[in-house]
Amino acid sequence: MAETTLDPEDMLPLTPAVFHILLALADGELHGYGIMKEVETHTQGQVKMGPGTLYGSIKRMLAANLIQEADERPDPTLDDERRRYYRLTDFGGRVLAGEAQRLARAVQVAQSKKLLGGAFPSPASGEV
Amino acid sequence: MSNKRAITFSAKVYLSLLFLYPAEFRHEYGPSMVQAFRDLCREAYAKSQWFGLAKLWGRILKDLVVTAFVEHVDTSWLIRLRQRTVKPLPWWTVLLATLPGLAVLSTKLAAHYRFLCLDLKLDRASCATIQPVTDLLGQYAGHPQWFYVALLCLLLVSGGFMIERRLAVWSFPALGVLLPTLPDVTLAIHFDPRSGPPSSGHTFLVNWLWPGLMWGVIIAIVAFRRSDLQLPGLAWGLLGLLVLANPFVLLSAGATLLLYVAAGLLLARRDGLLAGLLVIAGEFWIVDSIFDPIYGMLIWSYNYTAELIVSILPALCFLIIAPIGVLRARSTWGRIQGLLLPPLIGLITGEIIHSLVVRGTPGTYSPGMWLVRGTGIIQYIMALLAILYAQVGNGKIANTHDDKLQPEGF
Repeated sequence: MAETTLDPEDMLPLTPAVFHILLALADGELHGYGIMKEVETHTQGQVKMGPGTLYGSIKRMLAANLIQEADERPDPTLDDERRRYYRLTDFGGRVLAGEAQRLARAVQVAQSKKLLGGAFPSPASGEV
Repeated sequence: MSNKRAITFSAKVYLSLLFLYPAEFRHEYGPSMVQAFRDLCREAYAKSQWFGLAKLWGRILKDLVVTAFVEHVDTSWLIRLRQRTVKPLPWWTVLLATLPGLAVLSTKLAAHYRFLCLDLKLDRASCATIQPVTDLLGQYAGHPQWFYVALLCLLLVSGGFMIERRLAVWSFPALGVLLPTLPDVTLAIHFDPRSGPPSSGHTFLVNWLWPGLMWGVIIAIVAFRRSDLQLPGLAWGLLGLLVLANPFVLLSAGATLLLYVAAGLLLARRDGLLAGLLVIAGEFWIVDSIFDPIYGMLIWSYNYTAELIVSILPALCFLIIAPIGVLRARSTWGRIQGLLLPPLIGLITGEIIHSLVVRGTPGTYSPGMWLVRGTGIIQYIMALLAILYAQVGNGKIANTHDDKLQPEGF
């Protein structure tokens, strides 16, 4: 539906929570707790998501066709069958790429202004 | 307390706190959220035992309160209405829908000019020039001026029916204006409209025969269509309140109003919020009767500018701006705004001008007068709310043939 008609650029910029969830799902299907752990890992513990933030974002991302619920479990014998797995859609992948490029451009600007590793200290940690 | 019991207890507390979320969200994601929380508890306890659990709770409580609020806002029917797009109707239908309003406006302006002539004793030659205009549009005093407006509305309603083989959406304002004029039109067939309505026949027709007919229509609709109506409980409740409110206003006004509600609710099933145009046009009548110089007693104020503004305000807001707003809206929320805002602005502005201008004439605003005008306005607002609720009640938005033309907002 929306995949064929919407331009990924229309979705940008993404909220931090949505961006990190998409990033977490870029490697494959994950369940809710798996997404939380992946976000925590790839942000070096700077972003810790609560269940409310995670599933609120998932609800909106499903509606926006950025992600979809996986029908099959990666390995049902190794996991709780009640867990719900999510994966990126093609549209979600394009939106993620678009947001990553946007952020990269912002980083380039920051670099050109010597903000990275320069005079201003970076914040130690943060939460979504 | 052991490791397992501490985690189970925490999960139970978290589960009980999920009531903060909207039911729809809780049913869909509640089990997954509890499962994710249980995993977080296991991890926190394994890392720092009780301290870890306490730290996790501090983070989770903040997350819970903030996201519960966000979800309530996100799932509110107001947000859904904003997101639901509809196709605006073409401008030619808007023009047809505003024709009754333009006709009423012309009548008001002509009447105002004639009133100035009579009251200010302007140059007789000038008055003689406008005499044919006022004759054409109708006379100022009494009801017969509406005969011509009613004729136009009748043409619009019947023409719309012939073209579209059903009550055309653009003829709803005309139908709304037409309904209360029917007794006067009936009178005009039997009596000379220029001499004004005869009192005894008028009283019988308007206060007894017409209301009786209306009540018959309402009872027939309820009796024969009850199974098909399937209205939300609150809509029926509002309808009941309207019936109860009737003794406080003229019987004829109440009966006509009930006809609006019944017809509006039936049309709402097919045309959605557009049916509100019928009620808006009906609302015009009671507001016009309040603000019209004859009924509103502004005639005693000798403030002709104020008199002109309040005499054209109802027609402008209820019969011209509101239909344009509703028919050209691009979302369901836009249609609701089109139905509610122009009448509200008209009412408030009219009341402000009224209260400022007639303030110096004690006795014009008796408690009974306030009761009548207050009850009348509340009745019509309730009628509108009944139709709105029939459409958007319980968070459900009915699909109509117009709404299906556009996909839901992304």
